[in-house]
Amino acid sequence: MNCESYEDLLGDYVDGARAADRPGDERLAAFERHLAGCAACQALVADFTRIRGMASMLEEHVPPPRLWATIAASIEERRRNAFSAWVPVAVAASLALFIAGATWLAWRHEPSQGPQQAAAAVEPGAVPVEQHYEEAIAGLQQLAESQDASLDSETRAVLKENLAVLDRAISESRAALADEPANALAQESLLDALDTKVALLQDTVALATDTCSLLNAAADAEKELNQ
Amino acid sequence: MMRAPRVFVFVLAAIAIALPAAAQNPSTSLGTSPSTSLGASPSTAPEASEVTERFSRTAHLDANGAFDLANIAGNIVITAGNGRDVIIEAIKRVQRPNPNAARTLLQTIDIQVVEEANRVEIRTVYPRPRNFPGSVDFTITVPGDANVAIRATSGTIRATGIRVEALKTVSGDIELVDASADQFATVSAVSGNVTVRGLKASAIQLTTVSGSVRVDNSQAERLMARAVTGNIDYTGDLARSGRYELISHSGDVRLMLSGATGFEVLANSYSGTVRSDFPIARRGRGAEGNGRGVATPRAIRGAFGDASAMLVLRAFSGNITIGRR
Repeated sequence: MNCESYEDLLGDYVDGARAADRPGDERLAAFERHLAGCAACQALVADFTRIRGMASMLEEHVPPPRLWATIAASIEERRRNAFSAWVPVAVAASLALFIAGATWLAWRHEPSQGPQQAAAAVEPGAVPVEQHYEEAIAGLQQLAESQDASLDSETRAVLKENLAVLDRAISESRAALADEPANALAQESLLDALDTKVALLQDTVALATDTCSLLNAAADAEKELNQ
Repeated sequence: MMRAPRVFVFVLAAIAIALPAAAQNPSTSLGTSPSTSLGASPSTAPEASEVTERFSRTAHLDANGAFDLANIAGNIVITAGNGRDVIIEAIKRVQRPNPNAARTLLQTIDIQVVEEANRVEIRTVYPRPRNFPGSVDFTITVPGDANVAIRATSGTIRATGIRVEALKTVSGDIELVDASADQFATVSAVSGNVTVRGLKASAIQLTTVSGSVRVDNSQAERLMARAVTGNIDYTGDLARSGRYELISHSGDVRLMLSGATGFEVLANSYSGTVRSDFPIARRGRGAEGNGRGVATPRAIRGAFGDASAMLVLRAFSGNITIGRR
């Protein structure tokens, strides 16, 4: 049995289902045996568990329409693709949901007030939203790196170069915030850059997953030809 | 003595060109086409031979069906047609110093077409997607009401007249002409430019990291454009009650507006300049001005005309300009 055959059990496992508590569940027992020797599944379980833990600490917020529309489009796009590709993208979507609450906080600073009032609304030096983004970015980066090998060197170079572009934008915004901690525009620019980085990492994960599924399809076709 | 191989290659190429493109069975497309052409491409390095193979297929798609294409490398041209057919023309290409090796590799590129009543899916499958020395160029016609989603890794996407759902590429440009989007649509490149002309959309998001975004003569209820280092240019009229959110970090944001649609604007640049050719009036409660909006070198807030459209324009170091066309 390979990893894909256990995809449907990942969620239950992360939610605490164990074979020891379900004596008749042979598949769960088989999954636990598989998990013990499979680094990829262990990484997935670790990611899911971490996301679950972080998500449980978030306040309940309604995501802004822009993010939700993006996520919905992403989910629909994934639904149309091969089933085997869903796991990493689901993680990426979960991370997007995770930062949705954080972004909502940023939207609270949407300038329906004057610049001075908006600036005053931002507590100097306090950027809690940024921490949420950083957590999400770290998770997505780990996911992207785990699938990095499936992308060709040119694509990886382009993605790396553009992540560097985003890192520079993030650094510039942070420098501006260091100079003017109450500047609302500097904070918005920082959040824009972080948001774009999250989107690029999500796309990177989706792309790597697509490529993996194409690789699997090629292997299947080769098997078919050899039979 | 040296002429024989050249003549042989020439004859082979001539035969291949003369042969009609062969339709392939989607499930057995590996190496079944007789239309392999062999010859040196003028666009490739002198030591590399390019081997090409044509692929043709026509599929039926019901009204309002979905068309989905996933391609790794190669250019894509997609156009809306009148009928209910999806017409797929593709050229597989492989470049290798050894033509025989190139031809062998060419046979391993599989163009898979899945045809259902309300959905047509195409994907190119390579034996090893990483660093494969080949590509597939597509020229596709789809019914005008098909919802189109395309994902490419490298290569340009040029779409005309389609109903767009999602167009994505990493390192190519995307050009979208006279398209529509009934639902939320997204067009994104990473290092390429995104150009949109004559779009009619309810909601569309255009993004790039190091490329630029250009929107000409389009109508959208909600348009979001983002770039990081590139410029964002919007030219044309605004939709009444439309919302436009144009954001670039270090690129410029430029609007050249025609028509008489009024707008409310929030434009801010951290270190660049903000300029408007339109007189901006204060709107709602606020301490600033006597009926005039806030206008500083780095920010403009207020309304023009009936303020029916909403503009949110933001740059970090880029300049923002709202001009008359």
